[in-house]
Amino acid sequence: MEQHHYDEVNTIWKPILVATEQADAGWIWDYKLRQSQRDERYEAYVLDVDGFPQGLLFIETQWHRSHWSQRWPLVYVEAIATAPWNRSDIEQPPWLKRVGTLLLLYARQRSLDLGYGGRVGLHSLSGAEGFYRRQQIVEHGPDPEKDDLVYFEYNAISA
Amino acid sequence: MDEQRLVDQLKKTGNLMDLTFDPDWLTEAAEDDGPVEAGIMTRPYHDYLKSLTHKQHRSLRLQAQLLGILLPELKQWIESWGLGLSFKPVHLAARQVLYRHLPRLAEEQGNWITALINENSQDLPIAEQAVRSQTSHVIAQMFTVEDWHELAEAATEGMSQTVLQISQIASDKIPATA
Repeated sequence: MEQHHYDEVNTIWKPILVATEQADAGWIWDYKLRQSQRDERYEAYVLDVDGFPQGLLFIETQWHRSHWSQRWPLVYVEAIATAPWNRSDIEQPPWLKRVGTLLLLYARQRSLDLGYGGRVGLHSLSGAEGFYRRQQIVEHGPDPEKDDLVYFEYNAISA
Repeated sequence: MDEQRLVDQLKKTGNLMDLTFDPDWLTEAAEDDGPVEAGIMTRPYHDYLKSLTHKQHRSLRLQAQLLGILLPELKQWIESWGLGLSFKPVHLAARQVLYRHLPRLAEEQGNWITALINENSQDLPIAEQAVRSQTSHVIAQMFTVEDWHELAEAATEGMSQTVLQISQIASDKIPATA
């Protein structure tokens, strides 16, 4: 992900074709982008289709450990989000389908690349848990340390 | 995610992302994800989406459709300018200029955009899209003299940086003298 991706998300994930009084949404993608540029344990990715950002993925790759065993490192999803027009809860049909699935698949591939076996952990926002249940990711229940967001974790991909 | 399919894919190519070329996976991809947001930092974005009106959502949809046409056309047009290493900074600057203009189009340009989106909805081959073929002409009209100067500056700056980088690389390669 480069600075211009962040700039474009900030611009075009908002309605630029109509005049709005939308307050600053307070997104902190730029903070995560800077983190990924400064600190190698953070990585930022954007899915770019038709020349503009369709989804974002921020991951942490060194500090988090598996719920099952502290010996197992994993890729932790700090944030995953899709553009407004790619969400079936808003748009029917969405402009692009399965953007979230693709980004999650990439997180697992990164986990493999890093030697973590495909282990990936994340805290789902309420309302998105259904997506992760359909992805057959193991559910570990609400996490009091993360505002009771439900923690999900993929185990290693075993042959 | 079907774990067995992932295992099979790893055996086959060693890369999960190759699944995206698999027709079966693509068929499954016809399904919707629904909301996918994860991580506390996505909450403001989630709240923002909930705060949008129906009109704003509709506008976002049109925006995606429009950018899906304008941005590839803009890129192709700028590629034809033969800018070499200055292509990327000029392209990025031109996109920003375009975003600035879209909220305040002249009536004629607004009508053209409506026609463009209507034509796009007909799923015609690109070669048969008469309105789309006018894109570079319309964008050229949209850009002001100041905008063109901005692009020229981006080109100059891009080229300068490239030359300076070459200079740095060349100095790094000079062997140390005894």
